[in-house]
Formats: sequence, structure tokens, C-alpha cells
Amino acid sequence: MRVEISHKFVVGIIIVVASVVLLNILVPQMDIPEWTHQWIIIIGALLVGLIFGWLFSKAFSANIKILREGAERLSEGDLSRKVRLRKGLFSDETEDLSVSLNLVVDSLRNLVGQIRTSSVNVNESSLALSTTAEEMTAAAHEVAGSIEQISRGAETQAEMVERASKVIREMAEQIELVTSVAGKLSISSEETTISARQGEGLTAKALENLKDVLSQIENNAELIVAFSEQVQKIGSIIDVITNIAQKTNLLALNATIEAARAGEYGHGFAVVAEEVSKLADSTSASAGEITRLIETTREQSQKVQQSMADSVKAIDAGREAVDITGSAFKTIIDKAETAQVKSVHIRDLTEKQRSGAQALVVAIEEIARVAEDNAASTEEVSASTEEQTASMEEMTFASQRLSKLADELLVSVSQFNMGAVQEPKG
Amino acid sequence: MRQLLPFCIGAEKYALELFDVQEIVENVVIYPFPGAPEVVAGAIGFHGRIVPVVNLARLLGDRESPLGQRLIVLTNEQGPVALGVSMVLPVQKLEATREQLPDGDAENPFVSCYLYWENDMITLFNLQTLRSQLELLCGSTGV
Repeated sequence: MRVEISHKFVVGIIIVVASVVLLNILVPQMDIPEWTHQWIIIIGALLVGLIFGWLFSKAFSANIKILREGAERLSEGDLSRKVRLRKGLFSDETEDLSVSLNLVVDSLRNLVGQIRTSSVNVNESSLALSTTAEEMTAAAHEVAGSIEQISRGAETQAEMVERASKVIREMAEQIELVTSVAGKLSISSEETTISARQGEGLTAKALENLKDVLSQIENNAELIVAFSEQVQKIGSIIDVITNIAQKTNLLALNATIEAARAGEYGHGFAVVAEEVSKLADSTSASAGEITRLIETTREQSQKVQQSMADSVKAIDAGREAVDITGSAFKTIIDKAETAQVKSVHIRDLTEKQRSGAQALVVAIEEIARVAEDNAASTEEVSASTEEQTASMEEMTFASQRLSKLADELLVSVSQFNMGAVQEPKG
Repeated sequence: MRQLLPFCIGAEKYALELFDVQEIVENVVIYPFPGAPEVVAGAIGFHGRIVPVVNLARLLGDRESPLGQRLIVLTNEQGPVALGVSMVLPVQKLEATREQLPDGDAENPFVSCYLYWENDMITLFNLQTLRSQLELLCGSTGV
């Protein structure tokens, strides 16, 4: 039965008053002096009041003590026991207080348990986070190194691309030149073909002219041979004339001798002999001159014959050479036509190559720009990676601090005694 | 006026008086004498007579110069003998000459005298020396 404390005090006062009343009735009937009646009533009322006061205060202070001890345990973090009041006949507000205090204990126990579990979880998570952060920091360092390498590679790539761009531009210029030369080559090969055809026609004409010249030279050689034979005959005649002149000279000489021997009578004869001698000398000189001329003519004719023979041989060789030249011109024409076709092909190819080179120049310039952008981006990524690394290091430090805080929280939570039932797992 | 018949013996030029010359013959066959001295080249047939041929080059000590085609046949007063020379030159007529005799024994014994005219000079061959030399040679060899 529930009786509030105030009601219990009222009941106690009523009981004291009732005991006074009862004593006032009973004591006069007792066989004791009258003057003691008053004292006995007072003392009896005091005793009743003390007994009831002691009983009430004892019951009340015992519960208060239990509550105080429960509150002290609670303040000390002992959540292992609940507040248990002694069972009385009449419950009061202390019972409500103990229930409330036990509710607080339960709540705190749940809360501490949850805090402990959460702290353990936070500790484990912060440790895992720290490990992950360290791994991520290491990975970030590696990434930073890789990014730096990539950055250097990007710079090298940009430089190489710049060089390649320069080389390709030069190559494009050279291809431009090659294209121009290929065009000229095509024109030249076409002109070569035309010239070779003209040369073939001229060679045919030259061959015909050579044949005519050869036949004329052969005729001339025959004429020269006939002329040499005639000159040889003239030489024979001149030999006769020379012989006659010598004989005449000898006769004139002997006639001069005879005339000299005849003295004055031979004077006229001597004059005639002298004239004859002069004629003979003149004849001999002329014959000698003719002989020399004939000799010279014969030598010249022999030279001419030899020259003719050499010319014939040379013309034969020339005819063969012209034949070879003609066939060579045919070969040249074939080759030139083939070369013309090939040069046209080369010209077309070089034109395509020139277009390709220009496109390549544009592409390599784009690549160069992209490489420069990549290098810049890589530098930015490198900076970001460094920032990320710093952040990861901060995060590692923060997770370590969090782990430390979780440990401290666990230490703090461990101060609560929750008994064996409420120990958190892990 | 003097008429001379010049002739060459090797590089030397001599001359004979034209009246000492009988005839000039040409391209005649010379028949050699067995046992004759080397200055006698042989003999020729001259108008039915046998006339010896003297190699003047050999006589003058020139063993190199060959004989020419013409031989100088001397008159009967001088031989008869034919002179083999290197070359017979045309007759020369000299209007005015100056003679100079050779000096002493140091001169060539076959030089009769030197004839000078205008800016030229010719050596006259000494036939007497020739004759004496031939007699001397023929006497020694018994030809």
C-alpha cells in the first residue's frame, strides 16, 4: 500500500495525539499519585512520539541511505547494481526515487555500453582509418613520385614533341622540296622521252647519212687508188725522163769536154752543149721536182688511202655505234617512258606525302599543345597530389588523434562498472 | 778563160783542167783486178780499151766515202785511167783566177794549186802526183 511520507507524518502525529488521549484516560484510573499523572502522560506521549519518530526516521533514513549509496555508486560509475529498497508495508516517494534512479542506471548502462561499443568501433575504425590513411599517404607519395615522373616525362615529352615538331616541319619543308623536284623530274622525264624520240629519229637519219658517207668514201677510196696508180705511172714516166735528163746531162758534159778539147773550133759546139746541159739540168730538176711532188702525192694518197681505210673502219664502228645508239635510244625511250610514269607516280605520291606532312605538322603541333597542356596539368596534378598527401598526412594524424580519443573514451567509459553482463564485445 | 771539172771526194772538193779529161762515163761495170792494190777499184771497158779505175778516196786515205755513178776518164796523155769520185759537178768557167801554190811538204801532195776568183776558191788536183803514186803502187805490186 502506498502512503506518502507526509501522510505518514500526519499518522504519526495522530498516533501521538491518540496516545496522549489514551494516557489521559488510563492514567487516572491507575493507582498512582495524582501529581504523577501529568508526568506520566507527558513521558508516555514523549515515548510514543520518540518510538514512532524513531521508527519513521529509521525506515525513512534507511531508504535515503540506500538511495544515497546508489547515487554515490552511480557517481563513482558503478552501474553493476541497482538500488534495491527494503520491502515495507507502505511504499512512499523513496520507492519512486529508487525506481527513477534504477532507470537512470539502466539508461547510463545502456549509454555507456553504447559509448564503449562505439568507442571500440571508433577506435577500430580510426585505427583502420589511420592504417588506410597511412597506406593512402604512402600510395599518395608513390602517386606523387609517379606524378613527378609523369611530370618530368611530360616535360620531356613536350620537349621531344617540340623537337619532333621541328624535325617534322623540316621534313615537311624537305618533302615540299621533294615534291617540287618530283614535279620537275616528271617534266624532265617527259622532256627526256621527247628528246630520246628525237634522238632516235636523228640517229636513224645519222645512220642513213653514215651509209651515204661510207659509200661515198668507198667510191673516193677507189678513185684515190686509181689516182695513185696513175701517179705511179707518171712516176715511171718521170723515171724515164730523169734517166734521159741524166744521159743528156752526161752527153752535154762530154760535149763540153769535147768542145773544150776542140779549142776555138769547138766554141759553138760548147755553147750548144752548155744549153743542152742547162736543159738537161732543168729537165732533171723539173723531173726531180715532179718526182718529189709524185712522191709527196703518193705519200699523201697513201695517207688518204690509209685515212680512207681508217675512215671506213671508223664509219663501220660509227655505224655499229649508231646502231647501238639507236637501240640505246629505244632502250632510253622505254626507260624514259617508264621513268616518266614512275616520276608521275612519284609526283602524285610526293603530293600526297606533302599533304600528309602538312596534316602531320598540324597534328604534331596539336600534340605539342596537348603535351604542353599535359605537362601543365601534370604539374597541377602533382601539386594536388602533394596537397592530397599533406591532407592524407593530416588525416592520418587526425585518425591517430581520433584513435587516441577513442582510447581515452574507452578509458573513461571503463571507469563505469557495468558488471559482466554488459561488457561490450570486441 | 779556164774551164774546170769540179768533183767531190767525200767532203773535199777538187777540180781538173777540162783538157785533161777525156770523157765522163756513167753506170759502167767495174771489173775488179785480182791482186790489185785497194786504190785500184778494177777496170772498165772504154771504147774497146781496158781502162783501170782508181778510187781517189782510198788514194787520199778516205776509206768511208763510196764511189759515185760517174767516172772521170782522163786523156791518153794522163793515162789512160778512170778516176772514181764521189760526185762529178758541172763544168765551171773561170774568167780571172789567182793561183796560189801549196806551201812546202806539209800540204796535201795531190794539191796542184789553189785557184781564187771572186769570193770562191777551188783546189786543183795534181795529176802528176797521181801518176807517180800509181806508178809507185803498180811497181810495188807488179800490176
